[in-house]
Amino acid sequence: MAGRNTVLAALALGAFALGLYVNSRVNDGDATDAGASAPSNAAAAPQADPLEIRGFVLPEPEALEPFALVDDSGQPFNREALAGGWSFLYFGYTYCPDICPLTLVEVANLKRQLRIRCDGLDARYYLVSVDPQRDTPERLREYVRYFDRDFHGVTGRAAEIDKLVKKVGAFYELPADRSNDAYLVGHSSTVTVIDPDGKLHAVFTMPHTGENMADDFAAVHERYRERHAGYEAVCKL
Amino acid sequence: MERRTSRPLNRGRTAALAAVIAGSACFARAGESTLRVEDAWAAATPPGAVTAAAYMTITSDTADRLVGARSAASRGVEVHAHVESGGVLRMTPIAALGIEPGVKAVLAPGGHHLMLVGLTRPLAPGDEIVVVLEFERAGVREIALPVRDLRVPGAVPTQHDEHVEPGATAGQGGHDHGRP
Repeated sequence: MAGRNTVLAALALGAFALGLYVNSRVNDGDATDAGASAPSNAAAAPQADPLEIRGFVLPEPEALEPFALVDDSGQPFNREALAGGWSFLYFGYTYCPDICPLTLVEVANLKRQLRIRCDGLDARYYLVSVDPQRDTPERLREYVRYFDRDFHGVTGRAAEIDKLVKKVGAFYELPADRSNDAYLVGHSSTVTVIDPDGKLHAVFTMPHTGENMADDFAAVHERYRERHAGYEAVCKL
Repeated sequence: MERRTSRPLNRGRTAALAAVIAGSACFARAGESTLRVEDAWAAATPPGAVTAAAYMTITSDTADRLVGARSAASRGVEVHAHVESGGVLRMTPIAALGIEPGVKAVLAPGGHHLMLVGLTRPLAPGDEIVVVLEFERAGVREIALPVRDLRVPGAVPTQHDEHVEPGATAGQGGHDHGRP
């Protein structure tokens, strides 16, 4: 029984819960640089009282592996930079025509909602590029500020991006031929939630709306509050 | 107001009726096609963007296929659709988009859409761009698309409830489709 649940959970994580949403050219089936698989704790036993959200919550939040990236002002972006506040990560790229702008608009709505609903909340919002060849820190900065002046971009070496992508169960694939300036990058479209301990805590899946994500975050946040004596921020459920 | 909006509908009905009376399998000429493109718009672009998405609803009383698109606003225009391959849902350029008779083909944010590749200039809210659509049976249609700011509440129509995904025809042979 437990084994079966594990398989189901792994399937759900791999194919559905993560909302695989992939851009790719028909002739790039042999795309390189494929990203990763489901979070490594896919086999974890379900809790007695799991939170129901549009996406999934880890029964026990998981620490990230070390990674070394840069933010859009050239500052190091790593595990330490994530600690101390809640972070919302979206993995995408600035040349993305449809789903990335749409999702970032909704993440901006999420931010507005949380400002109204929460008290004392430290929240940060990042677009993590899966296309570092074109997404320089300068370009990312200009792009993310269009959606919200407090948004930040993150980029770096592909191998370092992959470490983070793999850990949070995201996915992307670059076309083999990237000489054309308008190449598409296939990628999952999820919003990853990292908690103030710097741990992977939840993933919001498609379709995203600011309202839904705010509702789901409030539930996740409340559970975190209950588990952490001395943590003082409050979000209205 | 009501009268004005009902006129094209009546004309459509008349055309459909005429087609039924004619009772033949003859192809409608371009000018007589019942194909309609409505609610067309394009998304304003963030700084530095070289691509943009365009959306619309296409309906027709007879089966048709969108087989090409172009615009002076960009180097190329591709039709993008969800296509499943190997158990993964991919957003992929397709050679043709099938239009089923009487079924709304919805090109909407997060779903099927046109992608303008290689913009000649940024798209700003309030602009209007022209996209030329080529249908197998209805012929060539020139559509004016207002440019809307995605960040403005209400800019993106909420149509998840009646979202109808048109039939996508994946390209054959694995060649690079949709770009002239």
